[in-house]
Amino acid sequence: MCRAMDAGAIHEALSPKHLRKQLAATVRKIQWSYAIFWSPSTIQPGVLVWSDGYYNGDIKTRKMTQPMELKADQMGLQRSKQLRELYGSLSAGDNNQQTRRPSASLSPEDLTDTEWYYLVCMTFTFTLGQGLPGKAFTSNQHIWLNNAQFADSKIFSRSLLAKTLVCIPFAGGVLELGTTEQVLEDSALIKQITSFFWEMPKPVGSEKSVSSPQMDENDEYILCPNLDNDMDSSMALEEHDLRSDRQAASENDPTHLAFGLRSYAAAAEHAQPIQDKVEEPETVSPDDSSKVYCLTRPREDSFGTDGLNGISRTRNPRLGALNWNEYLPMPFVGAQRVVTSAKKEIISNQMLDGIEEGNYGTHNSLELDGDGSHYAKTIAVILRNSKPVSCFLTISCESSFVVWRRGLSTPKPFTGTPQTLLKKILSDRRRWLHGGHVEKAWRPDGETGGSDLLSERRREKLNEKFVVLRSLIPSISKVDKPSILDDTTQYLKQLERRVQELESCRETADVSGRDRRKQHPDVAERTSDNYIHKEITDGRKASANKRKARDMDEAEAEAEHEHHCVEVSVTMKEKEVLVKMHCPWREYLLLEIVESMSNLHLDPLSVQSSTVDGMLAMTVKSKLRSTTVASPGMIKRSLQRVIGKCL
Amino acid sequence: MESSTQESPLNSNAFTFDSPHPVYAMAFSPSTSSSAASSPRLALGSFIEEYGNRVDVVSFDEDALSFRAEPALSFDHPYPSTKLMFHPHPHSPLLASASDCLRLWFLGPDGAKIRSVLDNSKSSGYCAPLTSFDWNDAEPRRIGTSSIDTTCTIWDVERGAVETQLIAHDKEVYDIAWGEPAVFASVSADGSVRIFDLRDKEHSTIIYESPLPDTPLLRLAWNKANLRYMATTMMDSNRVVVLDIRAPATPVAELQRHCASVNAIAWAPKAARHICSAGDDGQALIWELPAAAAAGTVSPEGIDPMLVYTAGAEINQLQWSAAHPDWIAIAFANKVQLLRV
Repeated sequence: MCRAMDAGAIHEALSPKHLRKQLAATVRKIQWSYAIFWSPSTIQPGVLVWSDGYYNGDIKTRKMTQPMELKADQMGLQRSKQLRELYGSLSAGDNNQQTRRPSASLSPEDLTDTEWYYLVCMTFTFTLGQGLPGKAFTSNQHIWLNNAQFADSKIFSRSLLAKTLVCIPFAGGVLELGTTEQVLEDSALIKQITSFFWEMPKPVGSEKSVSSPQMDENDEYILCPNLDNDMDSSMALEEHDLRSDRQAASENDPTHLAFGLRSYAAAAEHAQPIQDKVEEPETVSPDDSSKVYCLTRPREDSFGTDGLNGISRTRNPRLGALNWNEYLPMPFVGAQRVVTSAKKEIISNQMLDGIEEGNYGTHNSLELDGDGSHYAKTIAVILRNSKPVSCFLTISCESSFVVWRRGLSTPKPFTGTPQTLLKKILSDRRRWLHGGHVEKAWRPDGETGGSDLLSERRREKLNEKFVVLRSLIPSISKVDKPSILDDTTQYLKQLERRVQELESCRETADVSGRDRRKQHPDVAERTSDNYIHKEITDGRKASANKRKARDMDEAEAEAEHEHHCVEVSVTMKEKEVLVKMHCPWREYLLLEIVESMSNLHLDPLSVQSSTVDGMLAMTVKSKLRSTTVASPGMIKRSLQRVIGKCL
Repeated sequence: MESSTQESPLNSNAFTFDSPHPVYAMAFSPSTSSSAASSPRLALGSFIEEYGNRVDVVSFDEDALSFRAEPALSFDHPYPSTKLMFHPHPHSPLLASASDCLRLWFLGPDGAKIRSVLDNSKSSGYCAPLTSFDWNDAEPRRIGTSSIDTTCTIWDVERGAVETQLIAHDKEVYDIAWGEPAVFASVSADGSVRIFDLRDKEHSTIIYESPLPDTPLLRLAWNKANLRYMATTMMDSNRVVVLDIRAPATPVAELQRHCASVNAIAWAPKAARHICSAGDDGQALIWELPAAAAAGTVSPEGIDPMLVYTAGAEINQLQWSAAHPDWIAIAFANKVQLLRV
């Protein structure tokens, strides 16, 4: 709507004096905090730069050059000028060292937060479409931003002190007004602003003319600061504000402004030993602030002008780095807070500590084992090793996200089981293992698991166990599981029978052999007494030893695999005993065997033996002496003992 | 598999990948192996309630703004994976997945191969299903897994052996997150968040318990940019509880602007005070937590989110790329969307 205005009127209104006064009058009229006019840069096309501004907010300290009374509007004007000067001085280079500021000019500690904000706004530039002014400019519509402190940096990347912000495209540039209070959007207000702005500034001008003409000159002078000249004559940062060597610092710093803030941060830190209690200070550390500034893209010529005269370009490379195109000014605000009242710092830190201590108390009561120090150590380690990271979230201009607003159209309400997928993922998924799955044909490459990992493993184990079982059963012929089980059952029954018989047999023999049990088994007695149930071999062969005495048909010993492949079989038929044995050969073995047999009252009738590969195979036919009673098992055992001796 | 960019003005910067099956697990690659200009790469794990599942790998071309599937790197996976994660170092092409047990896959130039199966089943032949795991950024030999058998197992993946196994909670453990090389935290169905230090396995510390007794805590995220903060979500709750480990028991904030239960949370990888959450209301919200100095100025109504994105259906998974912090991936129904922050 503004560009439709008469071009001539535009230019006239934009003459510096008028502009300033317009801004002043507008802001004062609506009682807002500040007004800035952004205009297209003459140096760089497509960029909006600070053109002029008026600060109407809180002021901390006043400094006057002359002890004359100024009216409110003039004071405001002067203040704005002073802020501009301060900006100029801070952004000036290291040529300032030798000169001192006039006492009337502002020094950084004189400023409130809002004034700092205003000051920093001077450094901003916006490309078309970027930031609120850029957007207003391109869309040619006003933008009203409430809750600016909560706005994301995409939209409003500057300080968050202003709570309400309005950008109105106007007169070839953008007029921005801000206030620290919440003001609801009011199009009438916008119209009022714009219409008011177009009024010829006679009342203001007339006021001005009453005051000292010097002011006018100052106006001009200030408006067209030639910072080159100013450097020598104008202000220098006061010494006591700086902690470190300015020259060194200014070499290190990308911008002088940053340095200024940094020094205050450092000073505040220095003054507040409480900082060290806070392990990770929430306010910006100097490193962070300088990091912030370093991270912006340096733009050599972006300081631009105030629209009036060309500030020499050589001044500005460092200033270029002040472009805050992308970064949230949280650290800046933090720095502001550091800069401004030190007392606040103490209080907030103390509060923080208090909260921490209080919570520590409750925390202790929560611990499982009441060992507060352990947890404290863990936390200390974690936080000591954590590196402070910048707090910024850069939000691109093409973000998929939109700004959240209360009362945003709510999506259709969700009806259904909440978190279904999540719960399925987390719940016991064993049910998928056991049932419900269909795909058994699928097998992954390289993995042994089939369609059912669990049962595959189980199956393997079962198979193994069947094999073991089969090896234990003597008479297994078939390999399949049902027959293995059948044979096992039969064998078990046989063993049970044998056990019963042996036990009954043992009882009868026990009576006769009890008194002989104590004798040494090798003693050659008439009745050998090998009823000591001494297991020569290991216990596994107990089944073989328990062969029924009377059971001659079954007297065939199963293939016994003793430790040393000793096989002994004894067959008894009435009085004739056939002994077969197969064992590792050694010297005197034959002799000992025959000897032991005779001890057992067996008279050898014939002996056949052969030695193959160190193994002795021997067949002895013998006759039992009539007076003795010997069981095959007994004979066998003694023979085994003999063989096993000295092996 | 198609890829398309949404044309509607609302979603002009959301890029969709249509998967043939529902997707649950997602992981961003730390960077791409080959191309100089790294583009975001995602591994997507399917959710099919059967044995046969799949993991697909897709990459997103930032210039063409479209997805490109990498079928050579897709592989079959037993059971739906509850989590996928790439090896923290960009040059190691390993992908870990957890379902019935932990598996490592090697994504080489000629396809994906199983590298190892880390199974702690001992003799029973049955290992308890894993609910989640986390790969330790600082000590990439370590992976911690959480399981429904109330234990957390720490694996040394280079040796393929268990480093230690702790009985972490009284009930099923639902999520685990590393903070330090030897410190991890876990949440459980018993409603507590506990921190464990491997140097002192006898002790653990409860830093939060859900206010309603026995309300399971389902997900946990530890802020890697600022290790003071963790966030957790509860069952059937629309709240994201943000905790400060230095001030246990009292949450720093309870973020309560979702209209339905929250399913997933992710901290911003580089910014220290931003967190994103997504839930059944189909919204992904980005929140900014106030700085500590301003914590007292939070209005009693709670913190409002900064940004919102509305998807068409319940969002089940959310991942914030560490290699490309301006991309967030969400999964809902059969779709995966990349959102630009």
